[in-house]
Amino acid sequence: MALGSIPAKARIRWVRLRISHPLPRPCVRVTMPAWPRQKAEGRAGSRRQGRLAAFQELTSERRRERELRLQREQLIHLARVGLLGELSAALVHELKQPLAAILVNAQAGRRCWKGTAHAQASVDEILEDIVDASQRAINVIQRMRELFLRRDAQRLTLDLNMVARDAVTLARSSMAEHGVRLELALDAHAVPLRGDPVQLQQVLLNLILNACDAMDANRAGMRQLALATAGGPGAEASLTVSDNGCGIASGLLERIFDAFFTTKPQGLGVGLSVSREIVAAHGGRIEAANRAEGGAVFRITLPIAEENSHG
Amino acid sequence: MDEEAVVYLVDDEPCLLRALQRLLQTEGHAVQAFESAEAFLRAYDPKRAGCVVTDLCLPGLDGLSLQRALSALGDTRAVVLMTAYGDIATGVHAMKEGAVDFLVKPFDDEVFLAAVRNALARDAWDREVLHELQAVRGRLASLTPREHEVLDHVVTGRLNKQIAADLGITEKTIKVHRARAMEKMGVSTLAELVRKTLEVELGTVINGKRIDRQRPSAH
Repeated sequence: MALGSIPAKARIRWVRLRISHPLPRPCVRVTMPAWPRQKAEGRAGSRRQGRLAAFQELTSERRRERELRLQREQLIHLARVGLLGELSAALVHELKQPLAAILVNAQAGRRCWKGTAHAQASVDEILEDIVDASQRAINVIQRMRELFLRRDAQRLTLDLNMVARDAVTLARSSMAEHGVRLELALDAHAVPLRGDPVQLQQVLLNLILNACDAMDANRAGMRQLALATAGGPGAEASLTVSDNGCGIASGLLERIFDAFFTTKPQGLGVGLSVSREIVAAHGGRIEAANRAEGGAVFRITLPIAEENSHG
Repeated sequence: MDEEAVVYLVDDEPCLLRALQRLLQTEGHAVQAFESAEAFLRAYDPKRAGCVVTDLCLPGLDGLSLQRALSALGDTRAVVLMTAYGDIATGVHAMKEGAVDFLVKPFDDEVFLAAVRNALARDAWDREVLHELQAVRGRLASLTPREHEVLDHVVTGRLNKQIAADLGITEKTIKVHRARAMEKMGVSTLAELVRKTLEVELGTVINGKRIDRQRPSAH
């Protein structure tokens, strides 16, 4: 902290300060009380006495904050990479499907072209489907890349429904592998939020994969996952993920969001704690409960973005 | 049965479903495509000849359950299973459950088409056997109890004289019963008669003219 007296009427262009941590960006808070003695002593007095200014160096404080934020983002990213590991088999499958469609379409097209076909298929339709399937394969890779990429948290205006749809697309094969049926009930209107789409997707993916695991012991055909979004009531958007799996043991309900707490043999216990971190950074909260009819429900509440709230 | 055999195709991936349908159509097959096992079971015609080509991993009923549902309905049509997760254990399990083929995606068109041809041939053969057995059973049912009795003795190699003694009737009457039974069974030699009764007992067709033709099996 440096105190300096600045003569009144003096035009200050530069103030030289010695700062203990000049990198990465020096930060100084300047506090100048508004003419503290002006009224008491009149204009002449203030001209004489000048004005008091306080210079507070904040660089180290900001740096500490930044380091913490980076650490948090690093953890979020690591948790996301872990999630991708869990998803990888399913994502490979997700890529195989369009590739298989491209291959079979091309083979059918080749038979038509070579004249070995008994009946001609429409080449137009074949090509159309090849284009669609290629696009889908590219989209899968694009989404995987986004999850893998590390970049600073974004603050974009986004639609909660889109986040839900993207997460479902990524988790589709995993759900199929677990024999889980998905019931998607999205708000009929877009639900605008401010936030990082990839991080919110991460939260949702986590909840979906957890639900899939929780329903493994259910009889085949009896694994129901419900995902719902709602823009309201009030200025709050909500997203619920409910399953009819084994639920959460009553004593553990308090601890599931703790870091490094896990009930899975291969789990690290970072998924839910990071999810809570992300939701909190978005100004929201996440709660877990057991459903009366069996299974668990996770409910995320987030503030609706004001600039274009729906109605 | 006069209708053309149909390939019932089940895959939850619409794009791949269309592609496979096109591929089969280039071979001149009649195809009906479904996105789920449930939709197939609702809509398929049990009397229509053909085979089922289904993905193993489906939402709801999966490929193996579909196969089980078919056999529970008494439908023996050939089932070809496809999967994108090609592990040996599942393949072995599927074949044990009666699948005629197990294809791992992505596959070559020739391999796929050969598997379907094979499944259709197997279904045609099974239907022919069933048809012939039904005919023989129908003929057997038209025999009188006495004719049946005589026949039972004839096929075990007893002579008319011995049968007459066994049943306590004249040899002449035995000859009459025997001639009528042969006529009703539509055979002219003892060898043919033995074969037909054996067929019913074994539940399969023993055809002397096509003895080399085995039931088509998975390759």
